[in-house]
Amino acid sequence: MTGSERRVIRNEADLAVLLTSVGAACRRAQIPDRETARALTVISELGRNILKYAGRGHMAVDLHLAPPRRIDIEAMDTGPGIADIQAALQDHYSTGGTLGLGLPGVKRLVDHLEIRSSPGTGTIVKARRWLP
Amino acid sequence: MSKVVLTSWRGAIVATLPPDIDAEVCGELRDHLAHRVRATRARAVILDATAVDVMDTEDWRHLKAALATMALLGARGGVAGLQPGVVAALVSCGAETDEVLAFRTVEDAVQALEAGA
Repeated sequence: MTGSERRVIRNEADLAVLLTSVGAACRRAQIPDRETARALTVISELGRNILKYAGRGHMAVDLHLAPPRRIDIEAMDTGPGIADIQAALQDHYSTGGTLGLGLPGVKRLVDHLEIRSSPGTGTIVKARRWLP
Repeated sequence: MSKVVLTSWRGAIVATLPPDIDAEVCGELRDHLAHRVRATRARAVILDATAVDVMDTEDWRHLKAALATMALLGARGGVAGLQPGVVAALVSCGAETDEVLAFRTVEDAVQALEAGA
């Protein structure tokens, strides 16, 4: 069984709907609570980044339940992009007026993180977490 | 309609947070709590996070700001009922937690804050 969710992220309500849907899918699949919370936090951090920096974008979440189980989370936007990806992955680096914990925190929460971005073309973030 | 439910219990104000907190909820929380603390002269505020199943670092920052605001109004505060998975994710994300009093249950929080913890 595979669960898949794709959603346009234009505001906090869109993000909330996505979080609710993925949370329900994880519970149905009996994903451990700690892993569900981890995945939802990643989605929330990436979704907030879309809203903060690009205004709108898309998110896709794929729950692969055939062993080896994993959850793939993708966030895409056509916003201003990230000039220095390595710097953006450092704690407390921020251009958005916040503490800058978003991307470094996401990196710690997943097993694989891929970021493709350049100024003016937007950003694609792909995160993968292997599930027990 | 308000997403945050405020109740009074043994002289403390208990704010019950919804499962899906966001910036709007946090703003509403701070405004309503400040008004209630001033109106009732409450000495303690507890954020009941028992139902919260996702909290990112921005939500956490907003909740800390709400507690700091209540402290300036003369009410001690803390968070109760955080789920282990939520806590683990927050800490992994690098959220700063050392300035926040946390309790396992609302009852624990009321007792501790009454005793001056």
